[in-house]
Amino acid sequence: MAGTQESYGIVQGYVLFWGLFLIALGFFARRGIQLLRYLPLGRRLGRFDSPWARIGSALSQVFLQRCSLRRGVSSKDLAGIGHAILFWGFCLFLFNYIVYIFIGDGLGFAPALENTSFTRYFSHVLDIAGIFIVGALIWAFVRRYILKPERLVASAEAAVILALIFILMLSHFAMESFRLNAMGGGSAPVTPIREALAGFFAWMGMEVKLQKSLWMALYWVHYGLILGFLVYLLHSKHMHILASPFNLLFQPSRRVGSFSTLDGESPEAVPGADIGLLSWKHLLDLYSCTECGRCQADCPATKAGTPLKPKDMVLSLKRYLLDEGDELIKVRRLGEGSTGKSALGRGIVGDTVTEAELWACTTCGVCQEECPVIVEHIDRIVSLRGSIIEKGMIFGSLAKCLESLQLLGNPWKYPPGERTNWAENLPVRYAEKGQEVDFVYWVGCSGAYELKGQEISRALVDIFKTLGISYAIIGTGEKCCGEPARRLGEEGLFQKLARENISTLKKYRFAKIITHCPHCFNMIKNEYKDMGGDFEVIHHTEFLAELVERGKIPLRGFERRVTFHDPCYLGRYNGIYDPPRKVLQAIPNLNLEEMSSHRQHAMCCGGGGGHMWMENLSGQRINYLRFAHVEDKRPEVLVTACPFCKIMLDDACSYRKLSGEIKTQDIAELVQLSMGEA
Amino acid sequence: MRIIVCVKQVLYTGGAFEIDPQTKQAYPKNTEPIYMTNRIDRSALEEAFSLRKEIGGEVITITLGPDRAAAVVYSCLASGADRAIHLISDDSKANDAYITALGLSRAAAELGGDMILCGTRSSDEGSWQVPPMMAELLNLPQVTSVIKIEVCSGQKKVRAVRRLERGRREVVECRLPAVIGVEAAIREPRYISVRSHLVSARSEIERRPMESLSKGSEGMTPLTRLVGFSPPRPRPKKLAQPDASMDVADRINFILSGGMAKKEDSKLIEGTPEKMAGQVIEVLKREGAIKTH
Repeated sequence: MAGTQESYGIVQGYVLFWGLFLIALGFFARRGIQLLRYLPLGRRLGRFDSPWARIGSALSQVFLQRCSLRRGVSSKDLAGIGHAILFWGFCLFLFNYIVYIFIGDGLGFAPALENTSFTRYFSHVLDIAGIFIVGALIWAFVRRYILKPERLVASAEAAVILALIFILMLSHFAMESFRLNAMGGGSAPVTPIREALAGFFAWMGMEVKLQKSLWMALYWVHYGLILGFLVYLLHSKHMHILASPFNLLFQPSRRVGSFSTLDGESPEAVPGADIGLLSWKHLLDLYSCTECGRCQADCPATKAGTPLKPKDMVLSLKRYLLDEGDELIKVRRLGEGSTGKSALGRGIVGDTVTEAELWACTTCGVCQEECPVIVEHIDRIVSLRGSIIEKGMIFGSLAKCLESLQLLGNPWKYPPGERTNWAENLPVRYAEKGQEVDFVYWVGCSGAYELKGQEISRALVDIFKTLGISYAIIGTGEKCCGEPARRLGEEGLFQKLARENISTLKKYRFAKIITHCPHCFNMIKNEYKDMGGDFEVIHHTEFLAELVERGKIPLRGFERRVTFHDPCYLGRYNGIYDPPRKVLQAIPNLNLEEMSSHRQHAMCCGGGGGHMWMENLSGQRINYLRFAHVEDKRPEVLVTACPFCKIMLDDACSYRKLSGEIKTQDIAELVQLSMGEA
Repeated sequence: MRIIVCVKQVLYTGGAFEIDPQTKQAYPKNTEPIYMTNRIDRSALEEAFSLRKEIGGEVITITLGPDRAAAVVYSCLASGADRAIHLISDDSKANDAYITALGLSRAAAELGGDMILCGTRSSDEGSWQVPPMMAELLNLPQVTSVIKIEVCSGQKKVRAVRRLERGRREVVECRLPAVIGVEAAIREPRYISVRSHLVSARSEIERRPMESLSKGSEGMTPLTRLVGFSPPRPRPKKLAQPDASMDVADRINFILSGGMAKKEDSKLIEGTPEKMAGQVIEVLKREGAIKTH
């Protein structure tokens, strides 16, 4: 009941209403189809399992705003709450538009809806929502343009969207108040706000006729803005409104740590155009990005000043897709003969995204932990790394690491025959066919070859011996679990190592695999399944925590001030935060102090993603940056649960010349010392 | 330009080895023998690719070795060679540098290359003799220890930078075709992914028994015979042990600053190549190392 009832010259209100709507819808649909057509440029990916669970999860994440409220009150800026307000307010207004404007005014059901108690009730709710929205908008504007936190860009687009919604809210209130004065209390719903505003307008001495005209005018302005927004939606970052629920519908099974199992054998799997390396889900990620910048705010590579900035990479790729999408579709139709570069000659790796950006990632997972819509940065970066690997254009220490893995089964260039040297003169048991043990102790390459890693494995076997644990190690038949290969984009090498290890493991009889290295742990537990190896794996901190809980480990007093560094592959990748702390708290007289950046937000040591074998080409060293957090606490012992973390942070400690004051030790070493203290 | 690169399969020499007294072969102690492509030959191949990119042409690799050397041939294809040839020999003959040079040079003569690149030495045998022997057998000029190649004069000549001792460099101009022995420093080889290996394993490689080349088995008697093989005697070294409580930087400084190397008096022969060769021959005659007729 409003503009549609009027006639403007020769044009009926109805006609104007639906005419404008169809035009807007047309633009919207055209753009939507264009965007959808780009998605099949990506490779296939199976995310269609458990549909009901997926739908349920997506609905709860979106409608309960769990996506924005993850950090809750513990977050630094409460921005998630602001977004939740805007979202719920938007839902109410959307309901209002659909029911009252489109069905009511547009289809003529307005009279039926007008005097119902539901409408009266709903109008109150709507106005309250409007107030909250206005409040949230002002707050958002102040943050972005006045307080200017680093992760938010003061862009024109953001200003337009904020202004648009602001004007919609103001025009809503003004419009409804003019309507109240114009129509009287009869058919126009009454709320305290509208009454107050209407009273104000009346007090201002505005004629009823003027108010009616203003109401009509604002009605069409409001309607026009809604339609305008509909068209603008798919041309701005607000396309996330439509894309992100689907992003959550097709989310990975784990927030951090889902990697695509690519074809590691056929030449066709390496597409001519880099776009074919990305899955359709990676492309959907580009649409779903809200440009919030949380990924970038906590990324260690960004902090270290490397060229990698996760949000910028996403937006560059999005720009590339939107600019070159039509050309890429044409090229694909023509077949693989073409190079896949557009008429402008732009590809992805080397053009849109530099190689330095791709190598700078340590796969720590903070970006995915923080992202409200779970954009899969890591898998995308690893997939693009594959392009560089297959071209063979890698050199230096990185090439040596991968060549060593291919030839010798370990990334350290050590002879395979020396894999058990660490266990010389130790009563270590080797796995034998036909004999059954409780555990296979997967030593890993660091535990076998690296000095600092050997300290961990020796401590752990000593603990096993003291507790009489039934275990065995594989020996020289053990090869690298393949994790560095996979993270570096060498999928073929990973699959080769994985198959060999799986067939070796299947020769023996055991209940579980225990390992002290979170990388091996994560790999064998989560990623070997796709390669045919389904094993039960526990990390040594879980193992020790369980024994501690059951009172099976005699721990003597060990007075030290310690702090614990959460490994990325134990924490963010596998949610294991408590077991190491349980163990430390069980050691009498041990004083554990947490660093401010810990648990889910712990900063990476800088060793993952193949970085252990890369020269530091740009920016500061991430391990030095992380060590500054340790130095803040000045513990006597920095406790780690990962050989990489131990190596990286011990190196930082030496650099800071604090090796005399702060010792870097693994939990196993502490437990061994505590068991031995008499 | 047709560039022929000789690529050898070598034994990985890391880790502990024991020697079989009968076959006089060395075998790794705790594992199966691991074979790989001679690293310097990979650099040579990469240099060939760089020249191919710059001046055009084709790169053909020849690998002399037993059946197991086929892996190296496939990896040459995987890295981008236009053709890869496997010259099949049996293990015993391939140990002699002369037989190797003979086989390779006969194959190279058949192919007719403009440039023959080899690694200066192999990482298992390390005789250093194959490139010079090939040059002699092919009657071609040779330049060895090359770290930079520049093709000039309309692809008829090459300017090669040689790496000499103590950081000295020598630039030699040489007409093509020639045999050029390169050092690893000439170019870093590209990485060959496992997928590339798997894909190339499906292609066809050319296999020829060594005897099928021109002149057949004529002249294929080794000039040398392995009579003995012993592990090196470890020389006891006195090293000051740095204190473990020092941090890494200080420990390294400690080790670097301690201990002086003893220098023995060395007799340096200088002069033109002809003069130096003459003086060396005099010394060898004096010591009874060579028989004079």
